[in-house]
Amino acid sequence: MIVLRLKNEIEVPVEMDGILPSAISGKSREEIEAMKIYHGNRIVSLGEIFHVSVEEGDEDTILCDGDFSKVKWLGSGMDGGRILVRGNAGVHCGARMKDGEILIEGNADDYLGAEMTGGKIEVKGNAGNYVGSAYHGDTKGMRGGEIIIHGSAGNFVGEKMSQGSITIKGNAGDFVGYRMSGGMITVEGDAGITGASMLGGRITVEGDCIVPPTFERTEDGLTGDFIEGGKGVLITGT
Amino acid sequence: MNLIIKNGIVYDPANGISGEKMDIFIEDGRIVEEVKDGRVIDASGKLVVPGGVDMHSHIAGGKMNTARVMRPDDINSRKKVNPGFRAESGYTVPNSYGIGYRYARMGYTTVFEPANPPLSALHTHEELDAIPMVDKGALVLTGNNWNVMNFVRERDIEKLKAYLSWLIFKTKSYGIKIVNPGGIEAWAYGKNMRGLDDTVPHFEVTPREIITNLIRANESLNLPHSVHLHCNNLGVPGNFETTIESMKLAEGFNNPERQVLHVTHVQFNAYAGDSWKTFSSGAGEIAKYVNSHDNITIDMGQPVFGSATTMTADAPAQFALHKLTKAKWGNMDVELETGAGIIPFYYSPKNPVTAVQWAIGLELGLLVDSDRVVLSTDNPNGGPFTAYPDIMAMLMSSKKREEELEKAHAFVGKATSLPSIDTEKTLEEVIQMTRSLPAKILNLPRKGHLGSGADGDVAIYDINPLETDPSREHERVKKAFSTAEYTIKNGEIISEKGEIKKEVYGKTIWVNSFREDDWNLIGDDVSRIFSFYSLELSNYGVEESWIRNSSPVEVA
Repeated sequence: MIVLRLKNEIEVPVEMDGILPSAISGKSREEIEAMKIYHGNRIVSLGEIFHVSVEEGDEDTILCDGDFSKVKWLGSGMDGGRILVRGNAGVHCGARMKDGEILIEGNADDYLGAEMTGGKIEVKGNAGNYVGSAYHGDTKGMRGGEIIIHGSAGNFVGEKMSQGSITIKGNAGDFVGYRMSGGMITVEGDAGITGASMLGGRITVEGDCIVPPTFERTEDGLTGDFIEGGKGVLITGT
Repeated sequence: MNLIIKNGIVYDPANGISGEKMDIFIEDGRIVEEVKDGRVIDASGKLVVPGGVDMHSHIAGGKMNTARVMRPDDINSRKKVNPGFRAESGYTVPNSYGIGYRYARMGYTTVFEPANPPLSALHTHEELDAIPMVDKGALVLTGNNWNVMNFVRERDIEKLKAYLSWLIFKTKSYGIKIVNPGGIEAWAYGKNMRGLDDTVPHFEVTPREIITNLIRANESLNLPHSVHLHCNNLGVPGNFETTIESMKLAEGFNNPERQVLHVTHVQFNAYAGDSWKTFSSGAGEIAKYVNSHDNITIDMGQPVFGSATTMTADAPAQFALHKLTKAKWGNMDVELETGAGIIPFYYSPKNPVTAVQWAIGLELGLLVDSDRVVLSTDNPNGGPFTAYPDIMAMLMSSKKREEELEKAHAFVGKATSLPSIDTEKTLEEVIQMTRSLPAKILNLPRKGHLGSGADGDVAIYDINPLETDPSREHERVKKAFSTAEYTIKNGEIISEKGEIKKEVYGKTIWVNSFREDDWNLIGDDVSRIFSFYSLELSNYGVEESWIRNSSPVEVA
């Protein structure tokens, strides 16, 4: 197991795309320290920012110990292995990941698991906006895999998602499942405007939520969004 | 500084040179008979041709920026850092630097923007100014302009001529472009022009009258370029008949120097059938007409499998496309002049319609004589210009086409004749279609050839044409044309093996057509129309001093 600890508190974010379990496995500590990352607009080696140590545990695991909220793109494009964050994770964590597992014990920021196609992300705290969403201009968001958030999430959960599942144990913000075409979103608490422009898939909100007027009540629950000719299903608790 | 390109194998169709081993000399940016000394490039065993000329590529203007805003996905899809130079981003709608660098890497040195809306001419020129590496120019949109339609209705050819020369001068354009004549004005009322004899609402003129009168005025003004026409009914099954009818409007006009009508991106206007189910190719009929009439030239508008961004002044056609694909749609209205529509598109080999479009483009490229058809993708409507090497290879190799056809939908075999065409264009013909012919059509005497007096724009490719069989070794041909060994602009090496060596800013070529008398003739009419504009007449147009490297052409 590789353990990363921040040497000093960082003001300018670092970008960790490319520092993946599959990329570090089999590498020595020195080799890992020499890997390049962006710090602001400068290219630096990992060892300049992080204290790297090799500890007992699974070989394909990266443990991020500390507050990683200024660390962007953690586990993005990940294709296997595990990343554990003992603290908060920064934006784009798990974006476009294909396989593997990310566990965040603190909070996650925006774009958690955006456009992911497989694997699993679990957050013990809260997540920001755009969980499992598409990036601007792209036609599809999350395309597979699973996201579980024990706390609450912000706006645009599962925007444009087409497959996979998102579970929010707390509350969600506005535009849950905006333009989603497939997959499943479950919000165990309350949500804001839900299902707008939905084309397919299923959303369950166990608490309160605002349903757009463009949904029809059928025996499956609410279906819509008929303004888009959509066939999504929306189940609400109230 | 002088430059000597030694021992290259030269193809220069305009001067009748085909695969001769010879030296090319450049002095003070121009090609000369001989220079004593200078920097020597050893081009032995390499192909030496004039710098590429793209006569129809959307690279500037309001719609380009709107497309960039609409397509963050495209901007994010490609990124390249060029140490010491500007960064590039985007694929079908790259940033301005990316456009210049990519053309330079490919060995192209001249590019014309074919759609300059008068009202946003300043924007067009600001963007052209931001594109490095190439010489450029723009054609002004006239087919739906209120003044033009008024003068056509009044049958006042003198006023029409005066207005056109004022407009070209005011917008610093190189020639006249017509897009869906009358149709974009009709679109303001939710309508379109379905044939040459439909009537434009409130103007009581027909597309036939607009095209004919603009050709008459263009020829009478003796402008360097002919009328450049995007026909009515673009993208509609059965539209090849409209296209041929439009071509017939040029009969009766003649110009010893050049064509009198250039019909552009003909692939989009070469459809037979009467619905998408019975959709088939009308390329054969069009090729037959073009080959038998020497006052017409065309360009292909070849689709490329993959991502594209359709952008055209033809706003009603774009609305129809949006209804068809449900993709996001941008619509622009340019007051009393024109409009535009923008939609991202994907040409899939598996989709029967887009596969047939792809095949029709190639049919046109193969069936039309090489002195009548220019290679183009109508960048980025059919795909990005960076696909030109791939298209060149397909034109030269029936083997490559067979390979591509295997991936394409079987409908291609039913709807087009492409599988049975075994024509292979020669290297010389392809050089003609990408260099000398577009330069001749645009009437740029210093472009597209390597004769004495031409601009020192040369491309050197790492391929020996005498030892290469393009039919068999199409992969090598494509690779060689994708990245020029050297691209030389006015005698300076600007790109070498894909690496930018020097950033230069080319000329903006425009036609200085205006005479003082013109304004006396049309001043009252134009001023009256300006009461409907959102802009004052005094703020309209582009001053020469605002252009980075202005290069006016005088009219004889």
